[in-house]
Amino acid sequence: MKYDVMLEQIANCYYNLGLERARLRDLSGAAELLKKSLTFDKYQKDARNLLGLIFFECGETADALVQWVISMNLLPQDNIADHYLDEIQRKPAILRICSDNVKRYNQALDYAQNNNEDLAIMQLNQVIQDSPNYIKAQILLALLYMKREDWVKAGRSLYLVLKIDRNNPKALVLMDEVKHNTGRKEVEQSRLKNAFSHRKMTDDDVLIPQEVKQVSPWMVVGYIFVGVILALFAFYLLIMPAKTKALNAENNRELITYTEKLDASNRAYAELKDSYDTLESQYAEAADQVSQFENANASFMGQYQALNEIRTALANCDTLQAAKLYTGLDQSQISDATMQQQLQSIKVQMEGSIYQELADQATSAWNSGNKDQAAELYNLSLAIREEPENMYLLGRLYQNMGRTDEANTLFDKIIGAHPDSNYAERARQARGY
Amino acid sequence: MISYEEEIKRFKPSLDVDQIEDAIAKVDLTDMNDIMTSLIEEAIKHKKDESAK
Repeated sequence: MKYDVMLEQIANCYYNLGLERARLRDLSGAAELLKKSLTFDKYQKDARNLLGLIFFECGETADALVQWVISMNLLPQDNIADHYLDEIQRKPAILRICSDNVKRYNQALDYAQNNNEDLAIMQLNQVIQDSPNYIKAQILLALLYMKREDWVKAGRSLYLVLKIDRNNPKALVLMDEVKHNTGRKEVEQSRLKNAFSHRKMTDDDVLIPQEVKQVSPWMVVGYIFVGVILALFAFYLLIMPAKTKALNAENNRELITYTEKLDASNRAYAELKDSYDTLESQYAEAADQVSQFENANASFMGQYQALNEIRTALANCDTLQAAKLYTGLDQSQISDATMQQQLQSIKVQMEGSIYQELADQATSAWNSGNKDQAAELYNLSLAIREEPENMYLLGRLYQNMGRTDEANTLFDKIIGAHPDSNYAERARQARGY
Repeated sequence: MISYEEEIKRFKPSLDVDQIEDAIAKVDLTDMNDIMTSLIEEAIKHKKDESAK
């Protein structure tokens, strides 16, 4: 056999052993074997790539890159190292973080070697926060904690290391020390002792069956009773809550359905109420309008009738009735053009002659001693047209009737409203100024 | 008992990503095959020298 083939076989053997160890997470052991494999055959591509992977897993990214780059240089064809390098290059952040962590680790190591343990611990904690797989950092941190006798924290770091690299020699030694100091070692030893303390049976050993106890009928009844109680207990404790829960859930679902229906009904009711209110307000408006129209119509009819009656009274020379109707008429309400023309014609007649006729009739009534009628006629005349003479006469009549206040009011009105008339002076005299 | 000072002194700085090129250049890639080849070559050469004498 040629020596090169033999060397390849040895290298391959070491690679297989290394792979086996790596699968069992014994990364340190695997790395040693893979390095041996590469010593025998540097072209053992798989061994080199796996070694790189192990370095990467242990947080040694730069070492991993070295192995993968060499692997690619030696055997560029169909090499998975190309994929690894590509993955790393595709995520430059990984490289940056690794580089920062290495710098911080080296700084921490410097601190630790120069007795600046606090700073070293601080730096290492930051490194581990970013790269919990950085085994060297974890072990150094554990060592520093151990130096301060902080066994729990040291144990936690070492536990993490052993989770990544199951047989890391340094971590195992340190963990042994931690266990020794925390008392865990004794506990584990006693457990192991208990686990393997059973005596192996020999051929002479005899298995004696346990005595079967005779159960009395009362005991059977008691067992049945206890069984029933336990069954009931289990029913109430295990089955009932589930049933109750299911029923509650069903009730809740129904309640939700009803609530939704109620909400929908409430919404419909609110909508109907809104439309009812709208319709009611529209109805009220319409009723108002109808009422206004009816009133306007009634007013129109009334005005028309009043004007007609005035005209009839005037035609029958019933001036008193005409005057009463005319003074009782609200002229401002007449808006119709035809009726306004009729009113104007009546007004001309009333203010032209009728007022004076009424005053004359009043004077006659006064002269005949009928003072009340005279007062009524004077008032009607004055309501049609305020003539100072008639006002003065009515004032005098009131004086005569003893209605001094009303008489004085009239005199004052003559003095104020008609100061230039002849009756103003007479009114003053009658008033007693 | 573990001597912490001694243990800490044994730690070596990690390889930084910036130093990869130097590290690759420094890697000794000599394997058993290279050693065997060189030994065989030396032996052949020695034999040739012997026969020439």
